[in-house]
Amino acid sequence: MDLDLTKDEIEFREEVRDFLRTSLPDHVRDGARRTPGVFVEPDIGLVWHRILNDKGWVAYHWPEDCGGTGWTPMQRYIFEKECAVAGAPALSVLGLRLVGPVICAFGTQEQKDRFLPAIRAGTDYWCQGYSEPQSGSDLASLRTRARREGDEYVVDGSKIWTTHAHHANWIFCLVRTDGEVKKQAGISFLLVPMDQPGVTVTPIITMAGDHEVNQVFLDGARTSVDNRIGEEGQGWTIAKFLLENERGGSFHAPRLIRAIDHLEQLAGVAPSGHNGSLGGDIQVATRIARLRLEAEALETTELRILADIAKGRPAGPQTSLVKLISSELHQRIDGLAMDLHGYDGLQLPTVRPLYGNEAPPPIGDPDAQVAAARYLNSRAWTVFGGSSEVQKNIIAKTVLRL
Amino acid sequence: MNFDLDDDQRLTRDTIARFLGSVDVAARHAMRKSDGGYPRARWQEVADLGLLALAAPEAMGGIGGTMVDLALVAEALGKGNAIDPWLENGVLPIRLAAAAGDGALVEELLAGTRLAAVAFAEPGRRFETEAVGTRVEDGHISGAKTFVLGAPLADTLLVTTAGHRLAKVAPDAAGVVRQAYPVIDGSHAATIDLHRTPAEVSDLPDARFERAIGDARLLAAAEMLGLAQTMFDDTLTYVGERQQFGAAIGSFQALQHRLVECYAAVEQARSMVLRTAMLDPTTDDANWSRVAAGAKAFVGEAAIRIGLEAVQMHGGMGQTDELAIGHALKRVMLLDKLFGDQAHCLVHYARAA
Repeated sequence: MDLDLTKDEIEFREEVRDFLRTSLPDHVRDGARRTPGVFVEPDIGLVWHRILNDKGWVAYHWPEDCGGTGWTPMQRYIFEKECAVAGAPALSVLGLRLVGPVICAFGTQEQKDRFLPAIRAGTDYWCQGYSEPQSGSDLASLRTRARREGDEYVVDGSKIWTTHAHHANWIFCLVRTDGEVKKQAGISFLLVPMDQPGVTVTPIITMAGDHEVNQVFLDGARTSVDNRIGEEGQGWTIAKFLLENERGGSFHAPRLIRAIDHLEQLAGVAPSGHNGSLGGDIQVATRIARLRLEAEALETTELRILADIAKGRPAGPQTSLVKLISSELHQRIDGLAMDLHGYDGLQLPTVRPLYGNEAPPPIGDPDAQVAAARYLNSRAWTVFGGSSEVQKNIIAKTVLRL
Repeated sequence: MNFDLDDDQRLTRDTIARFLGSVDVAARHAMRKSDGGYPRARWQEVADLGLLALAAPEAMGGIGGTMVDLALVAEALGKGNAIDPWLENGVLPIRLAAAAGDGALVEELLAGTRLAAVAFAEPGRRFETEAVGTRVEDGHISGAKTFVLGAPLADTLLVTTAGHRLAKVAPDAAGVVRQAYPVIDGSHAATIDLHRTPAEVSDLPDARFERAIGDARLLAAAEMLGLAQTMFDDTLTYVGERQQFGAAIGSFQALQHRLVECYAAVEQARSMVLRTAMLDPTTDDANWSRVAAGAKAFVGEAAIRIGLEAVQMHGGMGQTDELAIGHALKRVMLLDKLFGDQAHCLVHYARAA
């Protein structure tokens, strides 16, 4: 048992560091830092996406025959860690991590040829049609229906919490193609073009004032039968594959540890109000210490899962464990960040973006301007991709066998 | 011993509930788009209800309400998710003007014809309340203030200065530089830099200042209690209606136990607010700010916890700006830090014991 990197892994790490040093633009890094939402907007994200694609590194979690990098799990971890340390933006997961791997695993060769290159190039922008107004945690109860009409499906229903639907030209949807069978068995996985009269996108504004999510109305929306992934009725199997990627597809600890490093730096310069810095305040110091311990343990939990995957053992419900722990840790870190800024942490700008020439001037430390919005948006961590309550149910059932 | 409301208190509570009842989330969004984040004409209605006069001494034309009376008002405003800055632009400036002996200003403030914002916080001083960086020299003041709530609406700025004084400043006076910004509850604040600004300066003895801060802390706690109650009530209704997995989510024991904990926290918070409000006539002023700080830390912890649970149990809807619970949580987050966050207030409570 050891935590050491091999010589090849160390060389790879240096290669990644060199690339980040020379290729990550300052305005992309700054935009990521000043984005209060969970994902950066395409004006920042696609810049970085295309730089990574030019390097051949954008689809690093895809199989090699689909245009992936062929990296080992350890290389993926090293890459994500170095990206986090460098302050690279977290790219939209919708194409790269969610539908991309689904098409790789379940798609036909024609579908792979049609969709994967455009995801890698960033020319197609995807959104996810999973949740519905009446089907959140109970996803299998979804009601959006698709009926066959010649070579097409006609889709009727509504999807909600659809991240970046207002930027997307494609939506991947879970739809009910058979209402007669057990609810999971009647679900299919369809790819639907957004640019058509049957698709309407309505914004939903978050508590923080951000427009990230939407409601998507499908009223007679049409898509070719060729855009169904897998067989009719196979949608639930694909959905679970995708959800495991959503919950466990990436490493959270490196970003969390970097955020804690930032908190520590901030505490070191933030005034206590009476004497010295907040970092010297024992309450603040121990709060940071407690978060760091949690994040370090999580990093090792993630590495244990990674080692299992590397040895060909299934990860399975452990992704729920990581989702549960990392979501709450995100929230606690964002809460402490807001607290460290004192009264300045209570500013909540109403305009977006908070980077670029049009951004309003911050009050106090520039990071204070995004602190409250980020904290409010981070409440979604314990809801999206399956709420913490659902993760606990999964763990209770499949791990603890209760 | 008696915990019942008297007839006047019941009437006030019901009047406030009616005043706030018509303001739904859409109306709140519309009002926040007004200049300065609040429709100034509505302030006159707050005054006409007598809610400002209640905070002023009878000798200055007010009603002279007790802390219990005022706490009940604050709680009712919280329960109705009020958009009105009664505490920060009503009670606080009235109490400070009264403490500084400015009866003429008190009269204008309680009539609603003049609205004041209080500049107490200084950059780099976090939650410390004693002014050190704002100084008076020959009737002129210089210094920097931040987090001046309601400043864009204000006809008068009340600025705390070193040497325990209170300066009355016209917002458009020479040497005033304001930078307005929106804060978390949707209201607007400003930073204010003063460069040899002419001002009317009065003495504000420290004991009186601390007394007013204690009042503000307790009333912040009382408003948070009302906000916590309304977030709890909305959540209880929601879990009874929301169906997932073929049942109302409120039928799941995992949520039931958490809701019971929230209920216990609301009841404990109510007891703390009432207990502290009733200490008012019997405790000495030096102890007042301490017990009020303790109460605010205690109630703030409960209200934040209940608000976060309310958001979580509302799922995706809870993340949006379309529900009252989100607006209530954001107001709680402001009040929880006003005149000190939980950590600051607990230290104050512990140290002075």
